[in-house]
Amino acid sequence: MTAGVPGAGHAESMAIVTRGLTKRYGSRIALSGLDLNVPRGQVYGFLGPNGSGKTTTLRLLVGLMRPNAGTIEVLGQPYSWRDRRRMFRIGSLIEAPSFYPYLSGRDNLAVFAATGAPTPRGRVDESLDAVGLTDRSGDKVKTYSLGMKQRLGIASALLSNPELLLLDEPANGLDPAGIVAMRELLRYLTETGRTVLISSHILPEVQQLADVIGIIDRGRLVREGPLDALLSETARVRVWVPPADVPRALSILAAMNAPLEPAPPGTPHAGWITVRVPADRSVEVNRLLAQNGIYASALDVSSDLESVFLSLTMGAPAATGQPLGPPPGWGEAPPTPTTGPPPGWGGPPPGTNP
Amino acid sequence: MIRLLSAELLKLRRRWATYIVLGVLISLMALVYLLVGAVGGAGRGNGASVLRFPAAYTFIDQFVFGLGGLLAIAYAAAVGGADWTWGIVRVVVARGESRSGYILVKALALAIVLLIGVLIAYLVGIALTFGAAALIGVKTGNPFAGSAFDALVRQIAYGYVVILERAAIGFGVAVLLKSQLAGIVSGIVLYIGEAILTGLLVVLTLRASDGLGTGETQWFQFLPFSIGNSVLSGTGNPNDIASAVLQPVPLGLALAVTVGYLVAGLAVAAISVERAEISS
Repeated sequence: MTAGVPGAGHAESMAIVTRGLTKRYGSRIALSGLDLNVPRGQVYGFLGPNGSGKTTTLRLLVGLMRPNAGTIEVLGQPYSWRDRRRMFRIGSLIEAPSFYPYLSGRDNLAVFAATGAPTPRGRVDESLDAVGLTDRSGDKVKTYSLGMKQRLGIASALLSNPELLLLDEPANGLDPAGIVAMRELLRYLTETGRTVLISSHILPEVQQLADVIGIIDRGRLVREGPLDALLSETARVRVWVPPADVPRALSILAAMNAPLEPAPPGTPHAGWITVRVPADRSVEVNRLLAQNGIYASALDVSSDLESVFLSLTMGAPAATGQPLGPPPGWGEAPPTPTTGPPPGWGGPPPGTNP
Repeated sequence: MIRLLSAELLKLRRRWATYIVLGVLISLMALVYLLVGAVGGAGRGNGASVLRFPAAYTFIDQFVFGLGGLLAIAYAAAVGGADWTWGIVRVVVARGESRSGYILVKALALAIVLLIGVLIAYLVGIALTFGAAALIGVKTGNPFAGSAFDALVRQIAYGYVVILERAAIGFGVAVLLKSQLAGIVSGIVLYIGEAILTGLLVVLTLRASDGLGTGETQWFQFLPFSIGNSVLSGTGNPNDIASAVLQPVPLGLALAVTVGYLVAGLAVAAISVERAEISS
């Protein structure tokens, strides 16, 4: 399990590459030949239903478990069970945040800072500040709310000034303001060249954050690629016209060169026509019909991640198109920071000051 | 390693269990000394004999290394298992800390705290001896004079090894079971279970030899807690039934076997955490 990833020519531009990653719990297969490509300097949304293998993947990536087969490269280095120092470059929050309840938030971070990578003095305070917990850092963790524990967990992941952050359900328990602040913090981290992998089932949140999406189902990666490309794959515009006009509307819309799906006649949905085009072509659909004397009574645009997710994991017909290749820009250097620290929780993350 | 050891000591210092365990031990000692004072004062017993040094040390030993041994098992199990119960092992390993190194430094911190606890309990025991003696008007003698001081140092040193062995067993069981509660319960059950088993086996051995004993040490005298009792017995503490009625295990051998169990307890903890698939 020390060899590099075969055939991973673009490994330098990747923060994580796995090939054929397999993990079994007894006779149950949790992961089956997982091929993951997490590009550097971007937010990777790792999605999947409960029990699909997301957390198992994260556990393997941070050395909590040994894979049964397959290879892993993290930050360009091949995986080795014995090479614990590779973890010095990774910050993680896996499953629920874990702390000593009888210690304060600050003491918990100080205790964690004593493990793993050497952590400079002051990093504890910087991490607390980055998540807006400075004021409550002296209180015992057992008095913290779920959201505060979550923020402390993120602070703990930031302690070693990591190049790669692995966050399992980071928005759990956060209030709306906390979610916005977390989003800005993570965006700021990627702007300073760091890579963030978020495992989550809160799809709207991931849709707002992620550059690249990987969807896992029953231990297999069913789709991976840039978010925009995934959304456009399943984008659709639905219009409602009088059922009697449906045949004529279909012939008019045929000019758009897009798949058309009319609802079956005689059903409650009769009159609906689904046009498989990106949302920004909805005006074109409406105009085309109107120019030909058919006025749509309703128009519905849909290009959300939820549709992509459900179509890939709920047994619905798979989205059209071929599996996606690496997204544009994967081979490029991480973007240069262009903004200041995020305004939400407090100061900039530790070690990111210009 | 120093920063990790400091962090472990901080955790133990901030943990209520540290003070509760010591408090329980000292409270029970105080209660018994109060009884000794009351009985001795009423002239209905020979309580005064346990208030004269160096014999008084043997009485203190009964608490510090007898009851203290049981408390050490529970405390060490709580310390060893807590990191699993609270999910801390997951965090520490994911931060790149050495699994076995972490566990062994934790054990080292535990050993330091236990040493401090033993010394405090012993000092309190000496103070209680003076208190109870003053209550009934008995002269204690100088606790630090000549042979008495030698006995004190010797008993604390050997007794501490026994405490460490018992703590290592509790610690190892808790880490192996990945739970502080399971570790505490299992450790105490093992301790009490072995005491009952050994008692039964002593009786059976005496019966088989018409009450004369076999003139040889028996296998059950080498069980983990019995061998620790043999060490305490070898330093003058008569709380080991087997050593009192059967051929005692020589002190040197008993000490070596006790250290062996100590190392085994730590090895179980280190190996089990090194090999563990961490899923919680």
